[in-house]
Amino acid sequence: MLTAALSLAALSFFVSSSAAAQGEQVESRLEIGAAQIQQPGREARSALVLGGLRHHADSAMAAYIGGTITWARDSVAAAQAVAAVAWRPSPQSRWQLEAGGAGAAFALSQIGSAGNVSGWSRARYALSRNVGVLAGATAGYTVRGSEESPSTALEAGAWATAGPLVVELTAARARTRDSLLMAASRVYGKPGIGWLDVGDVALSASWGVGQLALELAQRWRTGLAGTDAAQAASSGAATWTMTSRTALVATVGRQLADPARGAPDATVASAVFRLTFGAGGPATPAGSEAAVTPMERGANLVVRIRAPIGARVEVAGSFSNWDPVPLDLRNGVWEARITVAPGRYRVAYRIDGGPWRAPGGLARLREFGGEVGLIVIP
Amino acid sequence: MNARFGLTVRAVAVACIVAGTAAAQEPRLLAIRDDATRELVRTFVEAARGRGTPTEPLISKALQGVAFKADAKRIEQALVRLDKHLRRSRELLGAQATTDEVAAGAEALGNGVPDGALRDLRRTADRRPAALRRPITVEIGVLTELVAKGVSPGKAGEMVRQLMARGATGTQLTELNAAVQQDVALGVSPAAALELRGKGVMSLLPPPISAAAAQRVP
Repeated sequence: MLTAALSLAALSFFVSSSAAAQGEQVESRLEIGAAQIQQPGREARSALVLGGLRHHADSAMAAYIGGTITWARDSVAAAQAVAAVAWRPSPQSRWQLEAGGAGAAFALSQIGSAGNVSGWSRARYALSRNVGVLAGATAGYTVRGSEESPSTALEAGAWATAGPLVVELTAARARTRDSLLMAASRVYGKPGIGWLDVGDVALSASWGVGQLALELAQRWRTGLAGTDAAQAASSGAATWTMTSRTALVATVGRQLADPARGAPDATVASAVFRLTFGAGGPATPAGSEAAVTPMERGANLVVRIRAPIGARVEVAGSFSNWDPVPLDLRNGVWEARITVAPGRYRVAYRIDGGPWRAPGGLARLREFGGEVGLIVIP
Repeated sequence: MNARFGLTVRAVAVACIVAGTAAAQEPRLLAIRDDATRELVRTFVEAARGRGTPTEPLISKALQGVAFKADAKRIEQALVRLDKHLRRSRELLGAQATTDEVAAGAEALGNGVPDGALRDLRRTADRRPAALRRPITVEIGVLTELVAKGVSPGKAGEMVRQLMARGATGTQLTELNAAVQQDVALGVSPAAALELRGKGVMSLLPPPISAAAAQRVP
């Protein structure tokens, strides 16, 4: 069950980051792994996790559809399907709109079988290249036996980026009639109140360099309007990209109950192997390439980089006396076209003033703490 | 004009002269803001100019160091190393080598290509008929790239030498290089990729041309 909620949390990050990616990307993922799940007051359970998704992104839109099945030895199981889309009016727009829906069926050891549908929407606005704000709403409906429980949540927050680091801070107020789920999660209301109200503050950070990506999240919860809750939970995930098609994903931590999605409070540790299929897969981990087109004398060097829309992408090399040359956004991909005479050249690119890296497709050398790619033009 | 004003005027004039002189010698060095680093680079460039070794690689290396935000010490270490390789490259490639060849040779030496491989390429080039002789900058550059991709220097050097001996063009060599890169990206070992692609290019080439045969060409 936890994996269902975790996959939604991951989805939110995945879609928002994918929508920012440039160029058309189509890929499918298959994930298989194991998890250890513990709900409050219950014994820990081992579970098998099987998931899959298909993802499409171009310069203005990212869409995602996927499913996850979690199965534990004592019949505690969850199946969830999700679909989401993120859209920008134009590649240069400061606005990003996100919406998604999920349906789930699950059997929980403490509160029985249930089903849930939920939907959410969120708007992001970039105040500058590195800072933005967001606001969103979520609604969910859980059916457990004869009991039907609606839930809603409103959230607002801000995000900031610094090189490969992305930090997001949000505050949310959630209301639910799902007293059974909340009681199983140690959240109680005063006698006679119909709705349980909680306020959440969440801080998350993600960071990716090279083959490793890390995500950390912390959430604090307080009871509101007669609801008794004072909880805090931490979680983290690490993704190690082994090759362009394989990765290992490890997750550990606690999630607080998410009534809109019918997810209970639980602590989880999971390890998942991810296999990615796609149109050739990512060209390079960094999504960059350099291509040389011969001309009558010399060549046309084209450098293409996938980077966020608001990023500052530059290329430099011996051809420019190492003066950074800004790339242009063309058809959703950052691109530089440089005419070079016959000779040997070194070339490197950087995003938002970060480390210099060699474009994909070139022999590369490490120098001065960065990378350069080598080119020979006959 | 009081004494202090005169001093200021002279200081500004001296600064202009110094900057103007530096710019006249190599204006790109003015992009190096740190005075000590700029002076250091200028010293290396002047020394290379005096010896007759190429100055362009030294300037480019320094500018790269500045762009990469390397400190003065790291830039100096890189220049010392490059200067040594430029001198060695000139020795190995001979006095008749072009500045581009010497620069390519220095880069090759700096990236693990052994002395013997450079010497072999020069000898092979010198055996070409006079009508077919041309600089071997591309050959050296491709050899450097192959080694950077992980091919052993011995194997890479021998393949490039053989292709040269059979008359492979610069375009054929760079295409070979690109093909090896593609194979490596697909998971083929660099050595196996070079072996496969090298034989492919070799099969397209005519038998070695002897000097006598070349002289018969009208």
